Amino acid sequence: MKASFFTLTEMVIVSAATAAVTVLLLACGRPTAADTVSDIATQTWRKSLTVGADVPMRAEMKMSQRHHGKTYYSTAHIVQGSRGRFRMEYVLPVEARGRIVFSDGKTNWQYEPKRNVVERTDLIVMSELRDRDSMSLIEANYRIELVDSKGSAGARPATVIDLIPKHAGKSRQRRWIDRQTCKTLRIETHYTDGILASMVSYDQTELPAAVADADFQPMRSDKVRSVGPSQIMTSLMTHTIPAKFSDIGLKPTAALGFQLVEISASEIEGAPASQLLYSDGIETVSIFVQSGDSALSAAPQTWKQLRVGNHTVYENVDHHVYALTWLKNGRRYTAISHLTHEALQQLVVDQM
Amino acid sequence: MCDYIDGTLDAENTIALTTHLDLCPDCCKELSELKQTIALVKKTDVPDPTVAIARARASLHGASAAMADASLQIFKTKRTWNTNLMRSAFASCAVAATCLFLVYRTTLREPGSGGNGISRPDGLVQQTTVRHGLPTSNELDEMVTLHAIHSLTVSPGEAGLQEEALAEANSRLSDRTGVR
Repeated sequence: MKASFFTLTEMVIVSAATAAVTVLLLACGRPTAADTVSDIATQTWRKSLTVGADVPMRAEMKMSQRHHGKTYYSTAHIVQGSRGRFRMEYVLPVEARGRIVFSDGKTNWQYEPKRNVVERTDLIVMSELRDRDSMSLIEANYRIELVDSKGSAGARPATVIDLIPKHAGKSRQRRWIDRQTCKTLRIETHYTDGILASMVSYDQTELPAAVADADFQPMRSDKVRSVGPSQIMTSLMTHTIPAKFSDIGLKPTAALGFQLVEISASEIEGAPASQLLYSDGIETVSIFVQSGDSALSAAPQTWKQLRVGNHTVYENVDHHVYALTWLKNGRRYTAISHLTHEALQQLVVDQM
Repeated sequence: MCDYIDGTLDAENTIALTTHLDLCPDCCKELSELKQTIALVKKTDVPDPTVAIARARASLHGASAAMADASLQIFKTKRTWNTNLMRSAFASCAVAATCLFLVYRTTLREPGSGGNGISRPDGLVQQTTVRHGLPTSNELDEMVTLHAIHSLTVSPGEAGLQEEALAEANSRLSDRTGVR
């Protein structure tokens, strides 16, 4: 009897230990499973930016963009090669039909049939180092989540992932990635209110496709006029404010995970302006710096005067585009973004 | 400045020049004038040389004949009377031009521009670099477009995808502003 009692005690202890181990395993096991899912999403996303980007493809491309509260659609036949090469022949909108854009990854040639001209634009070449920088920015500011591992896009099996912002007031993005080649087949970006901000999708895909160098070269004809860039736009890729611009009054690191990525010289209505572009990897904020008045007597009706912290700023809203202007030390600063106005105010106050 | 206008100035100097232009009305005015001159030269049609030479020859031939006729006339008429007539005509033209210029200055100049703008015949005021008040709707529109274009170029990977979107945005900008 006694022996069997100890046996029973031992059994209880063993059972309790087993239960504890099971609970521990379950407790540890659940995050591990989630981590695995998260890893799948992150790895798929990374592969789409590296391996998938270089897979040649022929497809029908559809794009939508939101401007002034309306959605505009374009469609084009597209041939994509490795290293950013592509040829795109517009079908819609009607006014763009016949337009052909060629790119060898370093230069764009845009054929405009109505004017019978080919315009050349030199591109900012995307370096792998910069891609890695942006990749880490995105991973610092967005959670990459698996939505569906058995989705489809363009009649092909696809993995669907979401990029969800860690800070409030930013858009979220959904991507459909081809399961066989890791090519991105569809991207949708949604504003915080759920409205579709932009979309790119590829249908009737030939993947991988056979492409040749000639696919990405512009037509050569004496009858077609060739012209250079129509605008003076020079950009400097930088994460820091160069010494020459130390008095510009802005910081290279901004609130909500934004980082300075580019300074450009451009013209606004014929007058020179400096444009500082901040990015969190997906969302961007531009701050335009020009010389301006030291104070304003009254704001026009389209602008709203706000008191943010100890500062006076002026806000202009055009659907999902927010502009905040402030004056400081004889300069006029204008921040432009698709962030919500609360988020943009937070970023601006941090810069002031 | 010529390199800046041609787009051949390197990035750092371009941004340095822009920053300077932003604060120096004299240089900004000079840049604006230089651009106008270049734009005028670009707009001027270059005629077909063969046609132009033929026309020039015909004109020279006609002018020679006319001059020969005129010379003959001059010797036939009173020389003093002709000289006086030409002097009077020249003086009248000069007075008329001065009057037209004064009328233009007084009537077409934008009221209240306070010397901050350069008046133009279309009644618009070409602004100098100091931006008065808040951005106008055109300025805002241009900023939004530039923001969109530059935003597309900084996204990682998918270079083709980004450049396609960039070309699309560039096309919209070109269509809107009618550039090229």
